[in-house]
Amino acid sequence: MARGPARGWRKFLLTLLGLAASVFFVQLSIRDLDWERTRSGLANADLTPWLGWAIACYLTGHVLRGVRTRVLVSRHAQLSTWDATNVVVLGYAVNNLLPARPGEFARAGMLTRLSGLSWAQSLTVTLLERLLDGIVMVLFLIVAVTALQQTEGSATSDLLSAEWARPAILLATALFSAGLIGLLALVVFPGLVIQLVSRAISWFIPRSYAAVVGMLTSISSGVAALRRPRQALDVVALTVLVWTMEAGLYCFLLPAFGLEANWWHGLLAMSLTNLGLLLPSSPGFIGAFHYFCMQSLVFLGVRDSVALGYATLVHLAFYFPITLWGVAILIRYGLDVLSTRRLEQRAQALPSDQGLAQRLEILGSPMVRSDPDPKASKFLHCLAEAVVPIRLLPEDQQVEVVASTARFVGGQIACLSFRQRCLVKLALTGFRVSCWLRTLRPFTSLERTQRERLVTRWAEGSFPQARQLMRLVRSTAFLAFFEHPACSAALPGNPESQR
Amino acid sequence: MLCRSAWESGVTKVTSPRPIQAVVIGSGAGGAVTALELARAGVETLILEEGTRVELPDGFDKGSPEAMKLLYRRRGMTPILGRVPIGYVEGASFGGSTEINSGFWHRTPPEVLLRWHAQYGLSDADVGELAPHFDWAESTLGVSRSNEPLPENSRLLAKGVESMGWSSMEVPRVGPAEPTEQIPAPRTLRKAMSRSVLPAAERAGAKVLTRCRAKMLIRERRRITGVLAEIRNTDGTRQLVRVPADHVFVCAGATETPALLRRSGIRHRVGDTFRCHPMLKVTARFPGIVDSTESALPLLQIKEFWPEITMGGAFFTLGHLALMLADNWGENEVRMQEHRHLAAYYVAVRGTGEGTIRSSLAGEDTTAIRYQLSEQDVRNLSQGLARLAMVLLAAGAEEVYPAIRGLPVIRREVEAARWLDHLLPRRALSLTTVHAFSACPMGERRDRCAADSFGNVHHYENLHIHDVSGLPDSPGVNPQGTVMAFARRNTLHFLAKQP
Ligand SMILES: Cc1cc2nc3c(=O)[nH]c(=O)nc-3n(C[C@H](O)[C@H](O)[C@H](O)COP(=O)(O)OP(=O)(O)OC[C@H]3O[C@@H](n4cnc5c(N)ncnc54)[C@H](O)[C@@H]3O)c2cc1C
Repeated sequence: MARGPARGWRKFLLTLLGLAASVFFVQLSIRDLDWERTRSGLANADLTPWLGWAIACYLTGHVLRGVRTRVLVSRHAQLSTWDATNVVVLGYAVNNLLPARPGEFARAGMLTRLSGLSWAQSLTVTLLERLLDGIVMVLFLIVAVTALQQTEGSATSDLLSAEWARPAILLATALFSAGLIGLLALVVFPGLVIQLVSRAISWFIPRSYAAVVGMLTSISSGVAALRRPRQALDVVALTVLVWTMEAGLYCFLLPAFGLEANWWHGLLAMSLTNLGLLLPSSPGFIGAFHYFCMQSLVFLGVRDSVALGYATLVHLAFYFPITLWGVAILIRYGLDVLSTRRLEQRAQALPSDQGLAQRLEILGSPMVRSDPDPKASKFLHCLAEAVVPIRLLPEDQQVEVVASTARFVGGQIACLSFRQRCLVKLALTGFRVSCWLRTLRPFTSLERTQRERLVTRWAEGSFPQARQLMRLVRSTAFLAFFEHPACSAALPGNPESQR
Repeated sequence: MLCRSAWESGVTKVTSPRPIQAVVIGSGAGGAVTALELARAGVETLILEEGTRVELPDGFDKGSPEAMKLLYRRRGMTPILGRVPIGYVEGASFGGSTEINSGFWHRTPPEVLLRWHAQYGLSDADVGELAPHFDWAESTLGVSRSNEPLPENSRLLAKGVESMGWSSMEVPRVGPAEPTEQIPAPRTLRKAMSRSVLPAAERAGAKVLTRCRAKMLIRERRRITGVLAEIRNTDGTRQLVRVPADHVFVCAGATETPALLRRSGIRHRVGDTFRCHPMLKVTARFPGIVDSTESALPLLQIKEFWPEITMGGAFFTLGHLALMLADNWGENEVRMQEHRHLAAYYVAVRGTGEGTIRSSLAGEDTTAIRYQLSEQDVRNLSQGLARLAMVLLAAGAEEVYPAIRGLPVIRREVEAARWLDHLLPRRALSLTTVHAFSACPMGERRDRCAADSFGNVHHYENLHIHDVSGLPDSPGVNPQGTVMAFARRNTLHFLAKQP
């Protein structure tokens, strides 16, 4: 009973803490700032082509994250890259929109729904991804600092001498190293880990024994992909690629502010910012993102007003595309629920006995034939005439058979799904226009032999789309034409025609 | 041919809002058997069928334009899209696809059952366990081999098979319909569901609501509480009704079952594993008169390369002949004059490509079907064509015309043998299929299957799939027998589990 409100309070406190941190970082970022310079720096930023490249890099990174998720779950479920990417994007978007980082849970929830994995397994996969991300980010930071120390010693010594930097980097390294060791133990010695933990549980909290062992087994199978060297290698390589792409986002936006597109600078900004985001902050990481991103450039000697402009632009590129994509996913998945509800509201109950009796009276009696096809347009009529070999028929029957063929073709096209129907109609319009361009007369006013030539040109030409259109028209027209009793009777050698 | 519509079986005992004990969606091979067994066991059963009840006259041509209007979904305009589009049709009247199929009958091959067990964890479904259900279906439908001598087109194929030293079999078929007052001695009408299992189900107490399309399943957590359905009145108006249900059996066929489930937000392994038997047709010209129009359905199948590749005689009418010749119409048009010398055959392969079924999100509730031919499919089709052409030449054919754009006529064995080593050009293929399945596979492997070994949808205790979409993958043979046997087995299992 007390659980619900307690959890609610915790969430509330976390949100409050996040907001406070955001305010704090915003305040840190903007104190002593030359606002005018920041504003003009942003306004004069050279967005093309840099912004496009930056966003493309960032989105590619997410697709690669999707591929990684797919590989991680591949032993238990077959997930398409598209679905897996949506899972990842949803997590990021939820973190952008809601306080207290619930994105990881949303991601695990959607993964459970799409893959059929258990909740614990999905959460393990999600946390595993985050752990790998953290490890690679720390490695990238170390690499960037080392590389920069060789080239621009002063900047990095500034960074390392900052009062918060050293402990923060050490803490992150310690945390992720511990995670890495735990992970390796679970990957390499799953049986041993489960045995040890279960023994400890049976001593300390025997009541939860079954639940914990169950969860641990799920967690152990969540990391199963890493037990195959090839897959493990794929996962590691993909993680490195993912963060390389993310570094691309930071790197490509440097020239937008007249800065050199230095790969190490991009890498430093990316890793420092992302480590900073591990701290609680408001939805969308406002404040924390700007502060850490800005600081990474300030250490490199960039003026703080330019650095803030840069951080703001990177944040926009980081925030909007993924949030919009995530909202689209939410709408798509939410739509199911909405449309069910909408239909449910519109639906009436199944008629009662009395209602059924009335229905029986009204609907049970009439015997109906298949509906006749509506009259075909003049164009369809001319098209059908050009497609089928009407010479086979005696002249007095030609008009009637062609008319029924055209009606059938029209009826069949009308039965295509909405999308296919639109495509066919578009293609038919294209055909008419091309005939008009070729002959300078509308198709319907051409001689039959001329129409036949145009149809053959499309049906046997080199454009696959044109051929497919004519194949559809031809096959439906042939079926109606040759199945017509007049036609089968007229075919030479037909037993019917000889009888 | 006449159709009767809507509430037909008298007033049901159902009064809203009390749930109906069992709602069966679809009245095809799976739905009919399910409804019969449920009703026989005294379960209150309501069948929702989208199509109408059509009373066909004897001798009715089920491939004719009129049949397409009355009996086919979207009048046969349901293509499977992909890099090579495949013409696909399915039935949508009372009795489903059994109303338009040829009634060729096979039991599930033992190796297919073994594969399903190994790959999908399908349990309790070996040859012995399925035998009583096949026995029942075969006696109910009067399945037998024809006592009459083989028609000329089959005899010629048999001659070719013999000279190649291959194995073949005359395929058993569903027996002729029971005589009625209107049709005392049926010639072509067979025991489709509407003339066999469905009347028995109605006699046992099942109610039928035709012209009623299930639009969505109503979910509440892990339970389905009912079906939202749309009734088409004969005056063209539509009415949305809510049908509360204790148990829902979805038997809407290969494409509509996955589409309905996905529309309802049930997506775990639903619609991602669609399979079919792609089929390539060829026409052969013999020196003597064959008169294939007199025996539209040749009965022989070549089993030598089965189940990967099956060959046999194809449905033959003048309209269908024109369709087969349409890809190279310029050269083939004259062949129509020689139709008495022509016979049609097919190569079908056990599709190993990947397909999906999706319901369109926007507006119209249509189903998008996609299938990508695998390399193996194309190889099997190429080798199948080579072998079929060889056997037809050995049977005395002078010329063989494959339904492949731009492929020359095959006149000699060496021309045919070429395709044993070469791949047919994908883009030029003109493929069709009538066998589709596996979009909601059954089995214990949750990572691969939508439902358990008895068709109970994973995560939903009262939702069942009893139709062709539940087959784990391509059975390699005509599927109606398998569908009926599994539907009966699953229903009896369900009934046995009820308190
Ligand atoms: C032309 C053709 C020839 C064939 N020849 C053979 C053969 O010779 N031998 C063989 O074994 N197999 C053959 N088959 C395949 C065989 O008929 C099917 O595999 C089998 O009928 C599938 O049974 P089912 O119950 O899964 O689906 P179906 O028989 O297709 O029945 C599905 C039913 O559900 C209804 N439905 C769909 N959606 C809804 C909805 N939303 N609400 C309400 N009702 C709905 C449909 O109208 C239909 O009546 C052939 C198929 C075709 C199309």
